[in-house]
Amino acid sequence: MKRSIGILLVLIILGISGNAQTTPQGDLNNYVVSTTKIPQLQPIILTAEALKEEDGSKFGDFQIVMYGSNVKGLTNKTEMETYTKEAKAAGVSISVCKISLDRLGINPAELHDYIEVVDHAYTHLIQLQKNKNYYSLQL
Amino acid sequence: MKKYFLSTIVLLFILFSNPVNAQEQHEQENYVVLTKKIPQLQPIFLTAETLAEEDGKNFGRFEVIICGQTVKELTDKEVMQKYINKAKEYNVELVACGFSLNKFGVDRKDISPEFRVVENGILYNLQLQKKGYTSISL
Repeated sequence: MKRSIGILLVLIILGISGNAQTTPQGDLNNYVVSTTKIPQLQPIILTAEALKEEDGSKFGDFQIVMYGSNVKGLTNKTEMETYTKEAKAAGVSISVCKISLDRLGINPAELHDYIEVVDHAYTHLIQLQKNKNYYSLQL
Repeated sequence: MKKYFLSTIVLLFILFSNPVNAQEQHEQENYVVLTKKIPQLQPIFLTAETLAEEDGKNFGRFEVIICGQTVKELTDKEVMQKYINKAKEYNVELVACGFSLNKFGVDRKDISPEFRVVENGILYNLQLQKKGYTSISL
């Protein structure tokens, strides 16, 4: 009799912990989108705004990673301001690949203040997917 | 009394373990591909064909989102008809990005109704990923 109750308790505990695992409780939705073109920032930021509304309190991190030869435009501070203002309001971070900067001879200090630098765009993307479960899209 | 407890245990066990199992067995595999080049549809169809074979009855939906400047080519009805036929053959759904259509001045009336237009292709892709779709972008 006592043993049955013991087994019952163990099973209930197992059942509950099994359940907790299947519900993504407290898990936030994180996103990363990479692009090589500055004008793409516009639809990506709109996407972030829409997902923020859709996810509500489950909205986590939204990053844009830029790479390639077009990153030169990130030094144009007045042009970038229109994008960064919207990005900031939507909670979107914008980073740029260090390798692309080096290749084009751009000093990170020349970039718009809002732009962060990552060592290597592809590695960064893969790491986000691997360790932090980001939904990812490459444009 | 003991029997009563044993049956309770069995019942509880079924209640807790079954839904998880059932989900695994009937879960459909869904796919989304975002492409910026229409000729890529060709290898994408081959992929869909292979996956359909691999997944068997678990093969769910396979959607292709067409984004970027390439949407201009959607108005070439003759070329598109070939892709549309193939898409039907392999159960691939064709989706066009509305933002791209607007940006490159493509009138929605000039493209085949077989292409479903979504407002924002990027958003649509991420929404499908949230639903569990496996995604790749080309």
